Order: sequence, then structure tokens, then C-alpha cells
Amino acid sequence: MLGGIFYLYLLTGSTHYLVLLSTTLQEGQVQIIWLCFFLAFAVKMPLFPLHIWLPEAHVEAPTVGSMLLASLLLKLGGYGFLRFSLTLLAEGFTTYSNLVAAFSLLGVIYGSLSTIRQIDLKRIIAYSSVAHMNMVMLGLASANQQGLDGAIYLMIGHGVVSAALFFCIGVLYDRYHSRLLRYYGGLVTVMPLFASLFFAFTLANMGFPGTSNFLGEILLFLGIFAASSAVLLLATAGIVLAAIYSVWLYNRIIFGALKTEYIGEFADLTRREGGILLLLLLPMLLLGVIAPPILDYASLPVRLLALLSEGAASMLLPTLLCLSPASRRRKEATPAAVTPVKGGRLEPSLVIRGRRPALRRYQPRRHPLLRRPHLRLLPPLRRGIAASIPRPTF
Amino acid sequence: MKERPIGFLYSLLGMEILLVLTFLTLDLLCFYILFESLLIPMFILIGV
Repeated sequence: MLGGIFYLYLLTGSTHYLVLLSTTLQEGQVQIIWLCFFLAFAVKMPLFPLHIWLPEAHVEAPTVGSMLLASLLLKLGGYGFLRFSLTLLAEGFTTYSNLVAAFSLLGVIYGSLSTIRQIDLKRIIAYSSVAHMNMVMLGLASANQQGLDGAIYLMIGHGVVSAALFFCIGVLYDRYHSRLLRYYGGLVTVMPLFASLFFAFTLANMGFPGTSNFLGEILLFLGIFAASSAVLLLATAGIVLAAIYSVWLYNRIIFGALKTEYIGEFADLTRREGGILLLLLLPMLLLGVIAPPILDYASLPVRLLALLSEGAASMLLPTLLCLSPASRRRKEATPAAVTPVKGGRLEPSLVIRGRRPALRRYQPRRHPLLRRPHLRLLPPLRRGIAASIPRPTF
Repeated sequence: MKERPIGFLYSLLGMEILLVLTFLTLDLLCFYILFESLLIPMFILIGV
């Protein structure tokens, strides 16, 4: 990724996101930079062949570490993919989207299958989050509006649900000092409250209607269906397998005969643990019933992104640059009103200054970041491709 | 974690700060630096 950034800097003379949005790169170079970025995000995500570190890290980590790792750090890969690989380097993405889809499809099925084979509780949850994150990647690779919406939604939902599941495992580990599945059984008789809360999160993990993961997954599958129905068929196998391992895990821990040699006393949730789980239960249920807060917030950027990946990149870049709340309300900022700039390119210096009358149409209001004085120093730094682009005359 | 709560909380705080900065930054180089430096507090959280 560092190599990709340096290469990008050599080509364009800047590392600022908004400046890079308005430059165009040549065909082969975008692909190289895209691969550099993608490798970093795929490890973080984790995409299928690079996911081995995740279960190992979860097994070693304390409960808090696992919760943070699963709920926040994994989303960094998805965020980076949305922000850089899909937006900045959209041409590279269109080249490799089939490859990404293939790997994440493999990851969904392989991750789910290997979840069923685990006996360590933390590994089970870790592999199930590998499967879910690969499903997110599948939605990102479909790159239409439903797919992207669903991917964002599933990332948020998975953040809540997997954190809660790791916390449940932590509660068990605090009580009985073991993470192996075979030492547990019949917990419903000694921990009834825990059993009911754990049930809610297990349902959410398999995408039960009414929970946040369900909304994310249904949007995701709509998006995947629009991209390719064969991929959808294989991806739904992931849902069936998710139901299998979730129910199987719940059954083995909670029901069955109480293993009295390992589990003796009645030890339900303390008030603190119950409070933490309730705090995670509320957003999960709310997100499963009320979608608009997040989807409305994400809708305009997502719609632009979906158009961007359809190859309308050069037409949309001016609109992407005016993504401020003020311009959102105006009608003329919609993609239909934008006409392409001469030659389909925008020059960075023109975008930043924005003084020429022809460009004002696209920029009803300059982005606050572009008003920074140090960015005005940019034109002398133009190098490489950006310098070779002829200055359009109006 | 139980033995040294102060260090644990410091690395937790550091990780949150770095996460927020990573999600907010608009410069690629800053993003790279923050993205990688997140691993340090995570390493401490997991390993120590």
C-alpha cells in the first residue's frame, strides 16, 4: 500500500484525496496501484486466502480485544475498499471485480464450512465473522446500489452482533475457564438470562428477520442478484451454513444434559454483564426494524459510487467534489445535470481555484477543505501525468 | 489485562483515537500511517 501511495504521488504530485479524485491516471498504472491498495484491505478485511491471522488473534486476545477487533478493526478494510478502491481507483476495480467476487465467494463457503469444524468457541465466532466479512466483500464487488447499501449495513450490524457474541463467550470463559465446546452443555438451567440473550444474538448472526444482519443480508443479496444470479445461488449456501453452525453452537452450549462435572453452581449474568449485553441488543433490534437512519445517510454517496463503477467516472467527478450538505439540497448537483468537461478530464488546479465561469456550474459551493491556503500552492507541484494533461480553454 | 489496568486503558484509548483519525483523514499518506500504527495498540491489547 505504501508503494502504491508513492507511485500515486509520483504520478500526480499529491496525496490528498480530493485532489486525487479530480485527476485521471493511465490504464496500466491504475491497476498496479489498485492491487497494492487491495492487498492491504484484503488482509484487514480478511478476504479468503489471507484470513488465517484472524482466528489466531481472537484466540489469544482478551474479551475486550476480540470485541474491538471484530467490531471495529475489520471494518477498516471495508471502509478502505469503499473509499479508495471503489472511488479513487474505480477503473482498477472494474478490471478486477470478478476476481474479488470469486475470492469472496470462496471465502463465504469455506469460512462457513470451517466454522462447523471448530471446537473452540472463539474460533467458531471468528470463522463466522470471516464468512460474514467475505459476504460484505461480495456485496462491495457487486457495486450496485443495493449491494453497497447492504454491505455497509451488514458491516454495522456485524459490528454489533459479533461484539456481543464475543462478549457472551467472554462471560462463559470468566465462569468456567474453558473455551472448548465439549465442556459445555445444559447451561439453560443455570444461566437462563444468558441463554435468552445469547439466543437473540445467535439469531442475529444467522440473519433472522427483525435483526440488523437480516436487513443487511437481504439488501446484499438483491445487489448480488442484480450482478449475477449464479453467484447469488452459491452465496445463499453461506446463509444455510450460517444457520447450521449458529443453531449447532447454541444447541451444544445451552441445551442438552447439564455437564455437572464441569458446571456446578447457578451463575447467571451479573448486572454489569447484562447491561452491556442489553446495550448491544438495543441497536441490533433497532437497526433491524428501522433502516432509514443509516440508509438515508449513505444513499447519495452510494448512488454516485454505483454510477461510478458503471463507467460514468469522468462525468461524475465534479459531483463527487461538491458532496457537501449544502449542495445536496440543490437540484443542479444531481448527476443528470452534469455535462462532461472537455476531454472528460478535470484538471486539479482548475478544480481547486474554481474561478472560471464554466466550472461554477458544477461547484455551487466549494468544499471547505479546498479553501485551505496550503492547497493553493499545488499548481507548481504538478508533475507527471497531471502536468501533461492540456489545460482546457473556455 | 487484570495485572496492569492502566496500561490496558491507555492502549484502548490510543486505539480509539487512532481509529477515529483513520476514518476521518483525507490524505492518503496519513491514512497509511494511521492504518498501520493501529496495529501497535492492538498488539499490546492482544499480547500483553
